[in-house]
Amino acid sequence: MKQPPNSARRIRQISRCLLAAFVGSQHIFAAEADVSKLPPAAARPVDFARDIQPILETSCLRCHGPEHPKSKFRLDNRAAALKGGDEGVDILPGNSTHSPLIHYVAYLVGDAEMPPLEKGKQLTTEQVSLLRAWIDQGVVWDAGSQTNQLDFSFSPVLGGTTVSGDNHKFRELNSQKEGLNGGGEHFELCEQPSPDLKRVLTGHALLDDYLVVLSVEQNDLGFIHSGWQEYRKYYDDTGGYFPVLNQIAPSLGHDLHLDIGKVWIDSGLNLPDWPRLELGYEYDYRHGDEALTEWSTLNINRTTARNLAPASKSINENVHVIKFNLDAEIKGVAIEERFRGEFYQLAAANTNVALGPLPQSASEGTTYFQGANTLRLEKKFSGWCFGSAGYLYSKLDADSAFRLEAPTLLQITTVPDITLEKESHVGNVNGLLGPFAGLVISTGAQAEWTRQRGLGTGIFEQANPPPALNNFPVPFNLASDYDETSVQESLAVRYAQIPFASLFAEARLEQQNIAQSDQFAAAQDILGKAVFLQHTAFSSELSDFRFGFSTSPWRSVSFSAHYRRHEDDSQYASDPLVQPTATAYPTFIRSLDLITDEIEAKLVLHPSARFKTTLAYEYHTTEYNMATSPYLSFGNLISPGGQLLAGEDQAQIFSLSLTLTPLQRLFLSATLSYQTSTTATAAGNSPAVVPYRGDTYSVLVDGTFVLNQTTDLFASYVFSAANYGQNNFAGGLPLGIQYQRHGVQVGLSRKLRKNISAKLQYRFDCYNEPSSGGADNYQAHAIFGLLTFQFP
Amino acid sequence: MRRSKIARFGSLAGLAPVVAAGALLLNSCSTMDRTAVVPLQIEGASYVGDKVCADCHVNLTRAFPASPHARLHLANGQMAGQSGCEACHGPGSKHIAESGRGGADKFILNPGKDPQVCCSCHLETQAEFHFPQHHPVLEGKMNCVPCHDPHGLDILKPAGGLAMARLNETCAPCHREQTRPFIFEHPALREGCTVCHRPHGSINAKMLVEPDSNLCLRCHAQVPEPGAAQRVFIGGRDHTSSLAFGSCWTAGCHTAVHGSNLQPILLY
Repeated sequence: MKQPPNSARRIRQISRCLLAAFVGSQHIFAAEADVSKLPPAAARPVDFARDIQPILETSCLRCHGPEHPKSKFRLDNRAAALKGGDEGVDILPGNSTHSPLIHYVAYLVGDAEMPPLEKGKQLTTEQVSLLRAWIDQGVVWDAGSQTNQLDFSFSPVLGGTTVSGDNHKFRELNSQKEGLNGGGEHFELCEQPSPDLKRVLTGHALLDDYLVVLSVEQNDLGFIHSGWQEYRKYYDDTGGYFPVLNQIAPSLGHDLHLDIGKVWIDSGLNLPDWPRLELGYEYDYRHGDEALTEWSTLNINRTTARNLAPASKSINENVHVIKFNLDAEIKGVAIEERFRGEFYQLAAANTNVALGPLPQSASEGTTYFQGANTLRLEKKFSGWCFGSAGYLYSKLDADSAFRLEAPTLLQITTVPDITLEKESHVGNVNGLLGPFAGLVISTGAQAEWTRQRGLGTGIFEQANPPPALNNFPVPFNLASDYDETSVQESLAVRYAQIPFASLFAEARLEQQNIAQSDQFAAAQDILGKAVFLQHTAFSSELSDFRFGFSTSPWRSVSFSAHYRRHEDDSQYASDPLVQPTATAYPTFIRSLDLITDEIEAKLVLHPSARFKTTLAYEYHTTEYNMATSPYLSFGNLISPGGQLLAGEDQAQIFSLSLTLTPLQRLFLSATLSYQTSTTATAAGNSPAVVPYRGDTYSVLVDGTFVLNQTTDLFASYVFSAANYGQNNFAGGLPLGIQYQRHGVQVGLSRKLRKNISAKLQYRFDCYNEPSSGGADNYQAHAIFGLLTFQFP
Repeated sequence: MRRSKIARFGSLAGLAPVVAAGALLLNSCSTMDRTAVVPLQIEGASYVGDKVCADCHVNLTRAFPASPHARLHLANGQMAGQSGCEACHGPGSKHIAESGRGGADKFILNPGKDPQVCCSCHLETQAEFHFPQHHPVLEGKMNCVPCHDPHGLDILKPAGGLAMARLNETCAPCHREQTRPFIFEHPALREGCTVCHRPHGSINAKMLVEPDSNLCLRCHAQVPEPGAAQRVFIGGRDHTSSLAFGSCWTAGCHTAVHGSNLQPILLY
């Protein structure tokens, strides 16, 4: 029950001592309340399910149920109810007159009225009388009303898909393979043998898509959450398309896919008056082959060469994660402790040997351990002041190895010994003040320091043909050093005292400094462009401002809008580059200033319960302003330097959603979205780089019609399209995509028996991509049938 | 050929409303009390207000006034359920009524499990999830919560202290291969993954903002020498012919876009 104030509690304690000597400890509360004001107990026999349970459910269990009961007093089962809570015993069987529960619900104890007026209505005299009778008659608790249930549902599914055209593209876009498919669409077994114990087994098992989750939870004791998830991500194996050279985009002819999964088990203690403790283990993995966009050329003629040949990468990634969480509250301070340790292993190899005349293979392996720990504290100091603070420390130690082979060039580069270290300290404080007459202010500051070191030793081998014995190895060393400090400040103000409206304004600032050095050291220049030493001092000033409003002046109208400006101004101060030849990485960029402006507006109209529509509009623009140094190569002026608008992005998004129930048996919804965007760069004067420009369209429509008492019809239509195809065949490889995709689904669901329902659905998919020369086009038809068994 | 396919598709698409209309006529005279299930509605529930939610969900509501979602909060707005807890979780009366019986979860919307709740406001995001390349959110392989903390101070990061630092920590727990350290890192990662990738969905492979060299040339540009306006200089080198092969990373050059353990210009 709600805790009474200190004075009342003290009186109660004194009364308890005095009265215990006379009437025994079970009747101690009688002295506090004027029991003469109690209504009489109901004279008739009380039926728990009919008379009492509705009262408990309506007025008590919201706070005094099995989960986090107020004052640790529960009214969801007899044993717990008789046990009482923090304030002692509340129900005295056979003695309703002296049962504190009756005093509370009859509003006889000041500041301890139950239910509190702000949370529920006062019980009627009749209800109090029934409760009295129930206690007087021995607190009979109908065992049948106890939660003791076993729910089971299982949905087997079987069907098939036929695809004409590029089945690999179909797999990529639909996350499934063509042909027969089936299994368990969903299964769930939920057992609750007692109000405090719950066991749930749920998941699905389809072809290349599995999920099993087991959860056991015991109130006031602990929990175990465990599971396994694996699904297959498919990739199309098509490369680029250049209509001048090839009539159809080249393909690898491989089934590219990654199996992505995780296994986890988290267990924890949730004991009363103890911190919440959780220990967990997780294994994440990705195994298989993925498509790359790093294509290779099909010929070596520099005039007609276009990189079109697809490439793939094999990935074997395994991560073991240990987690420890602790949550506690001490003297009003909420403490959150989180630790995460990751053991990471990666073996990856990518190649374009299959199709290109200049094959190259790269393989690398990485292992690391990263430990990260945070401690956060939160406290509500008063009704208007809330504060929090946090500290994070993380450390990463990695070992890597790398090998690059270019057989046509007779080059092998190996870096067998790479060590990487990264360490971070982060601290922050945050405050929330208000509301003061509708004004809420939140503010925060965060500081971060990060240091990273990288070292590597390798060998470059160049064979002179023929014979291959004339190779000469050149050892080299790699090094990088990175020190970052940053400070971030934020302030947000919201004002909600205006009738039917609220205003907000936010500001975030960040200052960042990085001292960086990079080095490639070798006895001679190798790899054409490698040997150098560079020190760079980087600094940036970031600012982000946003203001807007939200209003709902009528029940059927709501409107919100905001404007945002984001600016990130970076300065690069580099020492003169040390290099034996003018082919190393140049440091010509002096500054880069990104400025983003953003406007968003949303109108919601809800004129009736049967109709609701939302209209949204967004406008974004980003400018990339640069300053570059004059650049000379072997005494020749390559670039005069100066200010440059390097690029500009613009985008507008129009969205509309409708939900409509013209008949009680018919529900329709639709979402339409149109986006138009452009990116233009300073390099756009070159025929090889035309502006990226186009539109995308999305339409989602679905509806459900209740045909009769047992049958529903449903249908949906999905459409998306883009027209970013660029006509720059003469100057370069056109890379913008043009496609149209249609998906139609129709079906019916029918309740066959009380516990059995069935669903039959047909789906048609059509994908056309002119920008791949039709190589990715496909049409697919699918029929699936599903049964659902549900018990009880 | 193409027209005939479109015609077939059109006739198929037109079939659904005809079937529905026929069914409607056939059943118009029947006496039936079933109604269509409207998504994201909790039948029979009514709005109770934020204060009631705060009674139990203290940990979620404590810092919520500082959350970006609180921007929408209207203390005295007229449209019911348009702001506050119930704007996302639905009307709470039945959830509260069931809270003592262990069935409360069935009577509240949980955006952490059903992304449709988030999509009902974030329409542009819903559209992006239907683009050819997208995170498998609507497919149920993941949801919004691993990337967004809807109740916390920063909605662009997942909940919990471990995300308090490191700009790309939102993406790193799943994309470790790309966010691991390298000897020579791509400084663009300091601006965040979203400078180059659309996080929800994209029409381009690898969920890129753009599939061509414009993506890189926004930040990598150099003032050309006088009289060479049609040539593209980057780092003092004339890239004009290289750019014709494809994009900066598909043209066989800067393939190590996230970082390189060999060359600072991200060559492999």
